[in-house]
Amino acid sequence: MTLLIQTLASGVAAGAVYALIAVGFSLIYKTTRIINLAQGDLAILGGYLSYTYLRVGLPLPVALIAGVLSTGVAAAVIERVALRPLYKRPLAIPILCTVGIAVLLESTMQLIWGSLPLFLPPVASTTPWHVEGIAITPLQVVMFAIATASAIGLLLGIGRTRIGRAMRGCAEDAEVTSLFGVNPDRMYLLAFTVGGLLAGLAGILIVPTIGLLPSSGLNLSVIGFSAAVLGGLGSLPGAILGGVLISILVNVTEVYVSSNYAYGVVYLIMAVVLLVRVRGLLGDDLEAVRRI
Amino acid sequence: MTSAVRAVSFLVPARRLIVFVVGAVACAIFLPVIFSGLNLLIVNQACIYGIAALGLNVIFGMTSLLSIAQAALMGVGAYTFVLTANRGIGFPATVVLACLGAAIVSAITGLISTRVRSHYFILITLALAETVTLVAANDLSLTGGDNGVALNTIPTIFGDSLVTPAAFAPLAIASLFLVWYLAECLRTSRFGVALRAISTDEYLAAVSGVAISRYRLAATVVGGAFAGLAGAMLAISDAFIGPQNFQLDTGILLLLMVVLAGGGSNTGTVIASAILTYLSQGLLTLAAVGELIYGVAIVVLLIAVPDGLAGVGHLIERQVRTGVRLLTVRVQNH
Repeated sequence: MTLLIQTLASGVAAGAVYALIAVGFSLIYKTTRIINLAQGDLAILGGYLSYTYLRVGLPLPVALIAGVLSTGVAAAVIERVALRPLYKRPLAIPILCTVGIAVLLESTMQLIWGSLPLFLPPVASTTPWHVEGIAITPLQVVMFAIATASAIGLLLGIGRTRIGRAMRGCAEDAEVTSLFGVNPDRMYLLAFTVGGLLAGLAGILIVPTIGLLPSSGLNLSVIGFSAAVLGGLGSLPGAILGGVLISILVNVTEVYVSSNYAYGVVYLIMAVVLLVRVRGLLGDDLEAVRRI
Repeated sequence: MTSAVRAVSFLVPARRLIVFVVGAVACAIFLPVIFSGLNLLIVNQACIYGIAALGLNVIFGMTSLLSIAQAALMGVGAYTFVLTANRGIGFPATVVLACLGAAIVSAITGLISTRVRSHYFILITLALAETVTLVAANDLSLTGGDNGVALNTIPTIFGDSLVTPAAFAPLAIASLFLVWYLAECLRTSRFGVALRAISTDEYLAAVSGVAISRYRLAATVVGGAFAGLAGAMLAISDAFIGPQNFQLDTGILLLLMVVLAGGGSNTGTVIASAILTYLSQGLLTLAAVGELIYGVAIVVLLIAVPDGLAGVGHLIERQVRTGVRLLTVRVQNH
């Protein structure tokens, strides 16, 4: 029983961070209809950039914040340079382009920082507190708090502000929205920038746990997508819920079944959701209707 | 015309058949003579990737279903081939089994593709690709894990063992031409037209009476079968397979071939796979730089050369046609 609660607790902490990746992914999808397969690599890039800023001599909090901001800039540059020329082409083309960007980012990181794991200091201590036989680290609490706070802030921002409404409008019909004085290109750029910021934030939070490796980007992407699909693509609360659920499932599988197949469970969930209920847990009906 | 005749009639447009037979025989005889050593290995490799890329061309190039699982499907074919061959099943039958195995697994993605919109499809193929790699790397008793499996007996054709690259080359080249021929027949048939209609505008295709779901499923089955054939050929050529042959980077390389070909062109796909296989062999020694170049190449190709080799080909053809017309007009005027 203690083991189960322990597994659930660390699952929830990591899940909040996966939720950040999933939310960024869902936000980009919601605004541009593009699936950004480079999201996980952007997260890792955030970790590496923070590591470099730290090595240059900046204090840890500044280095981490600078890392997150630079990841947002990187995402904006990617959108501007690589994706903007492709919006008018069939959707498969810009998505394929993000695959290319993912490959590009991973190999660039490997060239610059090498393929051996590096160490990025965590934002909070990892010495656990013991409560009723369960070990919870301050890092896990901070991870959960930061991730939840930024997710809620984003939800309010998208749901309640004019810019949020304009972004949602672009997803429905960019032409009609532009008649209302909104520049869709600027909204797309904004979606990618915010998506990049969220990925960078998730990166600096999760990297101390999973290790700073160029190749871990893909796994992060996959978890983020599965979370977003499970919660319903395009639904931000769904992405948060999906992130936490997926992370708990991965942890439970790792502990009780086999660590080799933990990611297999993620793929299985994604396949089952797409087969049985395309709109996911909290997705809107539009998504289900728009099926062919 | 009876339905049976109509069913096979798309297989025999005379000109293409002549190109196919003459080309296959000539290449199979002359290429092993021209190339030797490492270059011959690259020729074989290009044929294998070419077959897989032609399969992906049916799925992605013609139907616009973005799949990154083609390398994993090759893996399914390769493992089916080796595991059945090592259990004593004869040579041509094992290749058929490999095609069947990959086609069935590909059909799973096809079944999902009939239910979801196109960009969910890429997530499903990603899941499939990673699952195949996971099983291959972890299911030690069946697949030998990361160590892979060796092919115990190399098959023979006409009593000639396929163990050397020179002996394998004619088979590889002939198979490539056969697959190219089949794919080309498919592209110009009613089936191919339907696939392109679906990829251009699903709604219009649906109201024109195209059975979208059935055609998508069929496209993934055909593409999967080609991937299975490519996997079996890879197993014969290497006499050994492991999970490292079928990872995501191979899937992306195959996608890059179809993108470079452009416009669902089969001939373009063959040319692109020859070019990219040759380049990737050169890049093999510098792993990360090689991948960086892939990544940049995908992005740049998509933005700068939207129609790929096929677009360039059409452009040249149009220029030549205009040139010839101008010339004839001038000659007539004189």
